[in-house]
Amino acid sequence: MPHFTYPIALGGLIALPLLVGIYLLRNRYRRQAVSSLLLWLDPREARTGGPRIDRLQTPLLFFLELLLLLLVILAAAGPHLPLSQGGRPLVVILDDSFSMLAGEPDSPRAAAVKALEEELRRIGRSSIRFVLAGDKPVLLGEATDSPAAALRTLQEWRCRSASAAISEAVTLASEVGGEVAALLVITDHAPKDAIETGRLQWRAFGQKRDNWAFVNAVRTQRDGTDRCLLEIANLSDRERSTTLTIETDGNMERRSLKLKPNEVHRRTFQLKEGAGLLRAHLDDDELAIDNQVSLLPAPIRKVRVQLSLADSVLRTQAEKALRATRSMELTSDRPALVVTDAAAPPELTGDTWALHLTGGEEKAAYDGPFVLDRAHPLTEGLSLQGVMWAPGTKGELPGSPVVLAGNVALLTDTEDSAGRHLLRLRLRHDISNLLESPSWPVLLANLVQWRGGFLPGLGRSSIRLGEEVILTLTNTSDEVRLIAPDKAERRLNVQEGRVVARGEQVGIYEIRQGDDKYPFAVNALSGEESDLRNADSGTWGDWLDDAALRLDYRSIGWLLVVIALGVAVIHLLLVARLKRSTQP
Amino acid sequence: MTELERQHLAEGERAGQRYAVSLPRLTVLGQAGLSVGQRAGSSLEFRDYRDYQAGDDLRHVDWNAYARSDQLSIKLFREEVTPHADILIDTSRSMALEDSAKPRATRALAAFFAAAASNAGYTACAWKLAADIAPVENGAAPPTLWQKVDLDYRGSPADGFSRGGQRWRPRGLRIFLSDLLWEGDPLLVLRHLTERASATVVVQVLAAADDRPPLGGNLRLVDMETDLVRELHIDEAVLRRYRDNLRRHQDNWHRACKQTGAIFTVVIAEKMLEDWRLDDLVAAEVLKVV
Repeated sequence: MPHFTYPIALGGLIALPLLVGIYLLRNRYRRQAVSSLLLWLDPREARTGGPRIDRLQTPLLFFLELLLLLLVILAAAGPHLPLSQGGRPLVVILDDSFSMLAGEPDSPRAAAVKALEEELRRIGRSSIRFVLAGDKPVLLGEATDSPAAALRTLQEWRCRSASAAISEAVTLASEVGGEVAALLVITDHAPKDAIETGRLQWRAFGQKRDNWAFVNAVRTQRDGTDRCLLEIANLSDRERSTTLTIETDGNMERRSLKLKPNEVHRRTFQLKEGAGLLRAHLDDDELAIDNQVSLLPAPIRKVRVQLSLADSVLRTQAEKALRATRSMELTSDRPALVVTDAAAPPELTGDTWALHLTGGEEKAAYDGPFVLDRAHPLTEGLSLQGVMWAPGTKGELPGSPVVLAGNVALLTDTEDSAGRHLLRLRLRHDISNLLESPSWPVLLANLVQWRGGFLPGLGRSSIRLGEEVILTLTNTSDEVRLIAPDKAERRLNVQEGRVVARGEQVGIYEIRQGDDKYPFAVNALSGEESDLRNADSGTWGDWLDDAALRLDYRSIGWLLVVIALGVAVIHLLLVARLKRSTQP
Repeated sequence: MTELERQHLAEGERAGQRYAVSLPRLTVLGQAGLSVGQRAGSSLEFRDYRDYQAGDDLRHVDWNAYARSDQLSIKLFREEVTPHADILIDTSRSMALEDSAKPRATRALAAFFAAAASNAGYTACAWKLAADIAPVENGAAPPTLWQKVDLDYRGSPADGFSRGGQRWRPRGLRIFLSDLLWEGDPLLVLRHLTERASATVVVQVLAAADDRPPLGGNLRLVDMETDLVRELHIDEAVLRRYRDNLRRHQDNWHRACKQTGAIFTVVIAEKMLEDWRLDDLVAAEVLKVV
């Protein structure tokens, strides 16, 4: 499609109907009955053929004038045609969330691929590359100037993420593409904010649909009990029915569900001890990926904790908080974590970590603001809101600060060469309220979870699509391989005795090291992505700015002016000829 | 016939009461007719001599003159004419031109001549010229009693002439009322018309719009007879060309009439109906005021 720099000039098109009107008025023929046409004929006509029927003949001059006007108006509007080659670089941001697969084979993804094919073939690009907007943005393939190669790259766009970080992907695309690159977002929903004309174009190919989906599925092991929670949502504006089927170890249970609009059905149940894989699925609908869940038994990894606290208050509060985590056991045999208030920090041996609590006589207490290292695993969910923290001493505290009050370190972390951590926390609890605040159990729970993450085996056995599992190995010498649900196999890199595997497909993955097998389940659990009622289609934003005009389009105004001049000359010649022929 | 058409006939009949048809030097002679014509004929009235030519009727040789001059001379006698008028009406659709007085004038003029003929002691009969030549129903009666003088034939009266079989009274007066607006040699029609007629009068009846079309800008001209259409921008040049064509067409008829001894005259319908002054016909001695 041509672009007009000054579209207001197209208002001149009103001159065309005016010209037609003038001709119509001028050439309007009034009926007049005559006795005979004999005398109205030119004698030459009469001799050769007699009277004949003459229909209204719009003169050639009229069409020339019409064409001339049209050409002048179009030229004034500054027309530009897209170039077939060598245009602006293009970075395409592809929504990689699983909602793009809804309604297959007529899915938003299929429609988007078709539209991209047309777009890439319509305008040549000096560079084309793709950014996948999944849970986090990732570059897809290499940059290419060949539409065919770019389309081949699109085959790697599988839409297997539980969310689409489009704004982050746009940021990445902007950095990758440079200043002049055109950015194209391909998704299934409308943009949340208005798109400014210039660089970004947003194209949605979604379609509003009803959907059934598992939005949550959890399997936990507590106190020897295997408990499951399934949440099924009717993501529709009307009441609908489906069938929930649960299979465990060859046992199958079917249950009909009839849910109101937006209703979420929660089903909790216990499994027999030693139960294996649990599979649950719903009736087929528009989006298949969220109609099934697989849950494996949760791994049992209890952190062995040794409490060596002389202070009774500290001991009581620490034990209470640690027991609340339910993922530790108190022991003095080969502890993985030692919590102590000895005068000197303990010597770290084996794979033991330590939390060293110290006090003092200083009376200074801090009620904030506290500075927390949010990147540290201990501060996850920690707020310290309303906490009064008296460190007891103000001296130097070795290690990396995790919590500070001004320039006074309250909690530090020191990691040795073997990867063991020594955490130092100073607290005068008699003039502090940290032990009585919710932050205390949070802090210890984070510590236990962090330490547990370094225990051999899988951290989790069931994850959501796009999440990662960490497997801590006892033997780092053998090769570790990952077998995906589609039986694709690849090698995993071992770093610091651990491997990380990302769940990119729904189903059962397996990590193998020698004869050891570590299966984990991946499920598409995202209420937001499963809700297809927010899907939309359309185009927002326009690439047409000065850069686009310069790089992607060629002005054809001059050509129209030349043609207009030619038409004007022909018009003048015809007028002159007509005048000569009508002169007596 | 509609009441209006009958009124047109009555109007013409009234106007014709003031006139009588005539032939030059009208004389009542012989048994064959009550009038004599201008041409040599077989009446008893001597007109002239001429030299004998092979094939002449020996009964007309003037033997006395031969005895005196030893030369054969032929006595010429005046033609004997019949006091009867055949009024021939062109019933093509062009005679009923829309928005003009042409149909009114045509019917009225036919009735006029019938009345004028009656005034002169002629019998009269009206004929319709279309694809065939047929007498007007009750056409020998006074005009107001004529029936079905419809001007609706889609063609020219030349069609009727070409078929022949005319049953007009020999040596009678023939009056042809038409706009003459068709293409063809006038002589072809006039030979039929004047054959064995003592006098023939051709009256071209035109509407004012036929004679002088208005300067009308862009017009879609529709032929009344054929429905053919021609779109024209009517300017001075086109009008000039039209008038030249009309004049040329009238000249052709005039010339052909002269050749065949017919009298040609033109009447403009609207003008004639105003005062019924037919000076041209009076001057040509076809009509005389009574």
